[in-house]
Amino acid sequence: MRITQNMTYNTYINDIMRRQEALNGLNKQLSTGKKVNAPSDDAVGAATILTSKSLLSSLGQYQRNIESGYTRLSLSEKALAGVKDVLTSIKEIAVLSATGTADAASRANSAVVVSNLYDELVSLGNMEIGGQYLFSGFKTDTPAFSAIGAFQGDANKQELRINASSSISIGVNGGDVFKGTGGGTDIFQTVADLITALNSDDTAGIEASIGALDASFNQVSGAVADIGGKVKRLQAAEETLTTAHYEVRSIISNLEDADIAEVISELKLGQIALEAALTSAGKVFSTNIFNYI
Amino acid sequence: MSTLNSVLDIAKTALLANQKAINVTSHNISNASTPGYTKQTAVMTAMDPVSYGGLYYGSGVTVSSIERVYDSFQATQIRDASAGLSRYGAKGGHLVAIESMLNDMDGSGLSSKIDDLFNSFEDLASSPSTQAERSSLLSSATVLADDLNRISANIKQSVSVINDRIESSVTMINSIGARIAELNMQVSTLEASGTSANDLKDKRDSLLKTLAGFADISTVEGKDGKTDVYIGGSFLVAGVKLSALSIAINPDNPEVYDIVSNGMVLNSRLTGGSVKGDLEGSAYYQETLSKLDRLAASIVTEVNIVHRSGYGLDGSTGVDFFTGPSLYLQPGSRNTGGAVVGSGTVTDLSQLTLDDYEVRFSGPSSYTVVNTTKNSVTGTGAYASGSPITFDGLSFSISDFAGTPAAGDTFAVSVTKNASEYIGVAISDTGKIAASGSGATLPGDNTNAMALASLRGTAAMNGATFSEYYRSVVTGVGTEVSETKSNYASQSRVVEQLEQARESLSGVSLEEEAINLIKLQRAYEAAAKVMSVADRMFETLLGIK
Repeated sequence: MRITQNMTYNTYINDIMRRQEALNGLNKQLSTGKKVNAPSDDAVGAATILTSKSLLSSLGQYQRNIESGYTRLSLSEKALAGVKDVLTSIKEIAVLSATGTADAASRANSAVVVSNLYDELVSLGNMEIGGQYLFSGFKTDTPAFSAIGAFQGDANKQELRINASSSISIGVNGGDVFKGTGGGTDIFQTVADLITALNSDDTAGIEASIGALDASFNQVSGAVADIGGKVKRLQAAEETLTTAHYEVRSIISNLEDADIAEVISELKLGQIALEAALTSAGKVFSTNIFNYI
Repeated sequence: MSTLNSVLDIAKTALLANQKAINVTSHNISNASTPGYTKQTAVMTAMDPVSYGGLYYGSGVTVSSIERVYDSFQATQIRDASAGLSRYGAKGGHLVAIESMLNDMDGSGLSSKIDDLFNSFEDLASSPSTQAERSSLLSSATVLADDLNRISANIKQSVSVINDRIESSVTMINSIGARIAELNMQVSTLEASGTSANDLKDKRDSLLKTLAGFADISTVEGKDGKTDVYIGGSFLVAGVKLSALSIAINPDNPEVYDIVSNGMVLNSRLTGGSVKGDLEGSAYYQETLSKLDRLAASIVTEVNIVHRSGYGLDGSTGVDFFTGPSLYLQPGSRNTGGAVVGSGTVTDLSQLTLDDYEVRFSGPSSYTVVNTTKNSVTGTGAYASGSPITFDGLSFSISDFAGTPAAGDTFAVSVTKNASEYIGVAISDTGKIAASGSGATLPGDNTNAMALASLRGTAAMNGATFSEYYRSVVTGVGTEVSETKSNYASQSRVVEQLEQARESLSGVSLEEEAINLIKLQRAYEAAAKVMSVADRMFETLLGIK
């Protein structure tokens, strides 16, 4: 084959360009830390990466949902724990007032204390979070209970999605817990009855209310246990999400992240090859027949 | 006749011939790096002998011709290969632009914005009555709509830039064609007078190669030195005549330019050149846009259906979350009748199909509605000017204007066309966001917000969710880009090799020329020596007393 100067020059230009292009690609991988910088770098991998990233975004959202569920449940739990304390105090008063040592005057005094505690129950039932009443069902803008213990909410419970396919109700309904809607004890009525009995010095009435107070206490305890169960479910869901999050992240990382050690050694190799080409080009170009004639 | 004079004459021919040859060598050396230059050689032949006294005497040397060392097959191959190369180069450039326009790998693309919208619906479900969640939902929806608007505008802008490129390419093709026709004239004139028009032919070859960069060409060499040039089977240059290309707007798609030659549309006949790459790029842009339009129309439809069924904090219901979808109505460009389309509306979102339709008139009083996406007949009807035509949740009217519709008239109907350009958020009052599923104003009711959030996983687009559909668009572009890149890489190897082969045959080797130079110089010196010997012989002769 006849070799002309242009051929030699072109060969060097093309080869050096190609090597520099390869080095440029490696440098890009190093500076971004990623081997897939555009879908065309690895179309199949890119599909998985994009799917995984979208999945990651929804997993993050479910974790946020769970966070907000925790906040709501723990506030509800706090309110109900308060209710349990108040009911315990009321029961103590009722038990003391039921004994023979109590007289009409002390019972009347107790009635004042209990009616203060009654107000405390109403205010616990009207616990709010960010201006929204926790126990009002969907009527979150309305206090769950009036001053006389009438339920003003509705029977709904808010649901929250905890993963792609399931949701959990995170609301505790005030009607169920405080008013015993659907076959339970009406706590406000029980306490109001006690106040009436105390004021009218009605020992039998006071004794009757002790049983009802126990039932009330159990009703609230049941609700607290129910919340505990829901918190457990949220925890389980959160663990699953965390694991999934980690797995998806590692899928993305496997596909997307550049192997730095490998890239650097390829880069070194490429640089050496480029230097060799340049050195050789320098030698060849300085050889010229006109130097000899 | 063998005389001293003839010795001088012979030496003179040698001096002249070698000088001419050195002239050629020097021309070669000067053009060693001229692109497209073909090495020339001086062809020396012995002059016809003369007979004298029964003997034949040689009469010296002459340069009979100066030839190009040229292989026309090689030139054709290089042209074809570079047409392919510039096609992939142009196409690759456009595809990479689409890819970077859609690129989601850095997490700032449309795909994350779709995710954000549904995350915001989830946040709304967690806290259905708070202002913060509602405002943030409106802002994620606006960001998504803005992004679709932006991409749509960018694509349309790019298509018009490509059309400008095609237009200027056609101008270039015509001007190159004109110069080739001119060169044909000069070459044939020169060659008719017996001179070889090497450098003019080189110039023409260069032009042909440049031309092949724009569009794949075929050439036919005439006997008189003229080269005819064909593009897509239609002639551009015939002898000294140019038949210029022109541009017309495609009657079916006003965004597409038709390249017309001798009354024929060349678009589908081109197989190479940057114009082919531009046409492919433009087509790909429009395909991508129509997919994004589908996506936008589908998001608007599905979200609005659910949103309309819910209730806002203020008890409002039946409210659109996104604007639209709006109806695109366009009379066919070949219509001969005088009917026009009025405005139309979507009357029932739940019946929408997102397919494209065409209303075809079989006469002035009856029409057929054809679903052009599924290629099926949707229905037929009797036409009355201005009365509504309704099908699949759409309603619009066609009315007589300059006359009645004529048989064969068509009207295109689409809810997806331009959807990504028009998508916007219809709500500005956060209280109208329908998180609630019941008519009574229940601020804690999140059932509709949950329903909106679950659209994330709904396979609303032919078995794919919005995200899945969009991802398939992105990865489709990625595959196309990597294919084009690898085509370009292998084609550029082919071009390199062909160029090297051409260079090996037709290129100037400085070593070769230097050696030739010395050889010719020595021959010239020898001829001069012959002259001085002859001269001394004359002196000797004249010195005889």
